[in-house]
Amino acid sequence: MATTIEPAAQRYVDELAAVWAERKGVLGWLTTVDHKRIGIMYFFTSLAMFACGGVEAMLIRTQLIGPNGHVLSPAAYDEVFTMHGITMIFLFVIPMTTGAFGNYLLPLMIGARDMAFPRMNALSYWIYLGSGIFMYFALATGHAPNAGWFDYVPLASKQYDPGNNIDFYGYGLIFNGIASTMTSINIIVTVFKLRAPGMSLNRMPLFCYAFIAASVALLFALPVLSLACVFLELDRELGFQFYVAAKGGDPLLWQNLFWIFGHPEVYIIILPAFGIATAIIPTFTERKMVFFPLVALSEILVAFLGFGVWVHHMFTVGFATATYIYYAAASLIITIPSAVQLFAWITTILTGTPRFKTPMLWIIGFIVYFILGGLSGITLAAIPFDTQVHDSYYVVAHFHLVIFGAAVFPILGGMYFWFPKLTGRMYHERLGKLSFWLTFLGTFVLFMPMHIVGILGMPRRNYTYPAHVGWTLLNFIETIGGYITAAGLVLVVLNLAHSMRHGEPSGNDPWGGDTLEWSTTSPPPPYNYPVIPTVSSPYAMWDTEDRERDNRRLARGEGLLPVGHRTPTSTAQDADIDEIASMPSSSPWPPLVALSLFGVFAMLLLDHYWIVVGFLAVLLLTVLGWHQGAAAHARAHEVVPAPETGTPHE
Amino acid sequence: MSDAAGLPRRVSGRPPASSGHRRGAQPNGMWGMALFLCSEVTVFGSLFGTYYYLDFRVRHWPPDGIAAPKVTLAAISTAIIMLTVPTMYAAVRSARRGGRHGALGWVLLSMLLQAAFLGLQVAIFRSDLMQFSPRGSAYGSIYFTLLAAHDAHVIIGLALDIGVLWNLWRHGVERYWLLGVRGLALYWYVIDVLAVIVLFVTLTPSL
Amino acid sequence: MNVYRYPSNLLLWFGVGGGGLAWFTEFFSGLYFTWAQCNQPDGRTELAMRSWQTGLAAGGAVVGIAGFLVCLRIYLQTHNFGDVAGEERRGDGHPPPLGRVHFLAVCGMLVNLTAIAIMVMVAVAAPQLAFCQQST
Repeated sequence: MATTIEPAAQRYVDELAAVWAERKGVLGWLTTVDHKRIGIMYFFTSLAMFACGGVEAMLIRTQLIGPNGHVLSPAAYDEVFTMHGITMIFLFVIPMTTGAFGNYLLPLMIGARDMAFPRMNALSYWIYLGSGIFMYFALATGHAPNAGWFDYVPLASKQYDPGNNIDFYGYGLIFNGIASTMTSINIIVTVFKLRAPGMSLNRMPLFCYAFIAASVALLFALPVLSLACVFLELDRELGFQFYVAAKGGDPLLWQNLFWIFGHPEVYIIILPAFGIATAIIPTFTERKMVFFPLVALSEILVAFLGFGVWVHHMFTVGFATATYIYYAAASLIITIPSAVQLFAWITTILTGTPRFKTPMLWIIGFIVYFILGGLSGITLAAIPFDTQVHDSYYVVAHFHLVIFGAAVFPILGGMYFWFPKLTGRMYHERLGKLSFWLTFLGTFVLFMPMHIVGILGMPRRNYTYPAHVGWTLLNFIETIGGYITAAGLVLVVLNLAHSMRHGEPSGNDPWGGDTLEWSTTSPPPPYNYPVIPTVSSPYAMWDTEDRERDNRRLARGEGLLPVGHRTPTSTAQDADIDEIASMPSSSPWPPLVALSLFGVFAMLLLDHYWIVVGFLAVLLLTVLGWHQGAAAHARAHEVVPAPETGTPHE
Repeated sequence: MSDAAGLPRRVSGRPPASSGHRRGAQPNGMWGMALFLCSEVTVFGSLFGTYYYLDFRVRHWPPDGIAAPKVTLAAISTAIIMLTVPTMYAAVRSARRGGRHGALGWVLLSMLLQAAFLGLQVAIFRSDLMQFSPRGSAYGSIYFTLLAAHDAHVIIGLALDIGVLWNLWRHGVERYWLLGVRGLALYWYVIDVLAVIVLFVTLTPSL
Repeated sequence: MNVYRYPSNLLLWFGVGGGGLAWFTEFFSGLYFTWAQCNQPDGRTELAMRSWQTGLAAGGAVVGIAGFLVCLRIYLQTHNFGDVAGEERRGDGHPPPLGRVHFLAVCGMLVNLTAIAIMVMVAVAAPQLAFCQQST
């Protein structure tokens, strides 16, 4: 929307552009604290991890294409499927959703200029990158973790896994968890404190609700995993007895601690996908989301109830049924909030005027696979049935349908949806649709037969299977499905990569979107919004009066906050303006802190404990440097209390 | 024309918090510290859960040959660290009023109490290590890990104390360090409460 | 014009969160009770486990029902919050908007229903099981 800006106001806009300008070159990217740059770095790193995990998947499927396969040795197969799980969950899907989509989009959607803690944001990225490199060092040195992504003891104990494969797992996950904890704290504070004044909780987009729910769950789930890994490493390295039955410990302690984290983890994986779906559906159906408050409540309820179902992963360990009934009951009831959301989305689509562009197709695919995966999930919540199919391919089918079909499809749809916003160009629509159909078909062919082959008895995590048990044809079909899926995904990447250079210019708002990010330029300027936006509903872009009012304010140069790196902070519920905060501009300390932390974990792995102390000292120095810099910045930029009146001019 | 004018009026109709009076919301830094502490409390919750999980697993807790922990010294050290709740509260009050020496003094006193606690804890730790080992039984593993986890948080707290003290001394109570004192106080309140719970959990066999 | 007497803060918190908290408590205590009884060496603890299980779950369900009824009452009172004026709460200059109270009542009803469902399922299943029966 072209606005004629008065000369005096133009001076403010130029100041804004100058103050927020990003440093050029590699040093600029290394020291950036801008949420958009960090989001982009998260995006490309997670995409690279997705490719690694995908290659691992293709290796698995190729090994299983026929009986008695020789593509991978048993030991190599163990490492490949373990790394596939670890990569996809810890190094791809969580960083992609919370780190890439969350960091890039949340400040834009709430009308803020950055996340609440920009330097900590940068730190979380560099730690994530470090943990990815750390884990892949394992693969490069031939000592990758090999006891499955949930790494049960006693298989993972020193006695049965004496090399340092499992130490890469234990230390690597603690390292990775620090990044995710920081991201979750950042998301929670940003969404509660940095919303544009006037965006009270009931005017907040559903995308933000989904991310808050996921972040709160992440905050409470990760410490349990970290503790489990600490116990594991104490047992392995120092000979403690947490998991050793003979000395009063319990291997089931690991399982319990792991799944107390592990189950909320899968809701953490899917909740951002729900958020992306609820951002795309209103835009492409041109109507508001049906049952908006119920969808928000369901997202929060799923995150809460998700902490009470973990033993359903352990229905065959031998607890009394009296213990299991708590989890079976909660696992069955937790389908209700999920179903409420499903009905809301479907009703919105049916009662709107759907436009089936590529992003919308991915959401339809998501709904299909969420239903299919959810149905197999309900069957698994029934203890007697679960006892029959535990550790078989039936379970593999279920979780891949919900993780790949239902969590990754919205990520891919979101990539297409926000591609014009990030790059200013439009992707190739027909190629986009083709990439969807290939992936959709491939997913079906890959995972649906797994239900059958699982019930026929094929156990998971076996490197091969014999010839005359009736599994051969189904495995062959699944592998073909895997190749088709891979082709579809490669097409997605090619489409977007090509369109980055050669796509048609898209303009600010090619879709008629409903949330604030569509009001600013494509790509957004470093300061996101020249004027802090006015908000009256969760569908800010469809409130044309508000957008026109913002244009008038821009023309008059009001509400720009050009001095310093400023953004308003507001109260948590009503978003009453609280104070004008000054954001940091760039900082070399986050990568330095991450580097010293990497040194700490690398030396722990190599058992050089005195050098660990040295790196901890370096870490302390970098943290001190950070805070001295922060204090100096705060001294130089006086924080301004909120204006007393602030009645908008008309 | 003011650059901040024209920002939307307050939704709730409540009067704005003018400078010098209490604001409507906690600063971002306090939110960050509170959320970080949620994460740490979860770690301790899992440690307590593990303690009782392992307790119920075996016939004898502690195992034969290990004496039940002694109450006195542990209780005294916990009482000492609980004294830092009022001292840190006093430090925050001084800092809010801009009293640099008051804030410095109260934080320093708190730090001495915390160091005394740590000293007693180290003594208990060492005397226990001479009786039984964390490698000998699950009881030993969880007992020592639980104490070490809490002591580690106290050590980090002492480092934070030093940082805050240094900066209060160099720069006085400016805005950044007022937030630092408040955040530090919140950290210590939680660590102190956890100290009491750690005491009760580790003394379960003696109660 | 009706004047609405706000529920006290505590009552609203109970209505919205009571059922969830009851579920959480019943869940963890039931877990520890059954583990203590069924997954440890004989002779350690003697508990009337089934009575505890059923009692905790039923008690929790009762708390959930109470919370549900509190929220239902608030919901019905604030149903036409356009026509109702809010009365100033004593000692607190800033009552929440009526629309928010109404919404919280809806949330409370739904959360309590969910919690009640889970706890009733447990309360019904627990007495049916033989002592420390294992299904595998």
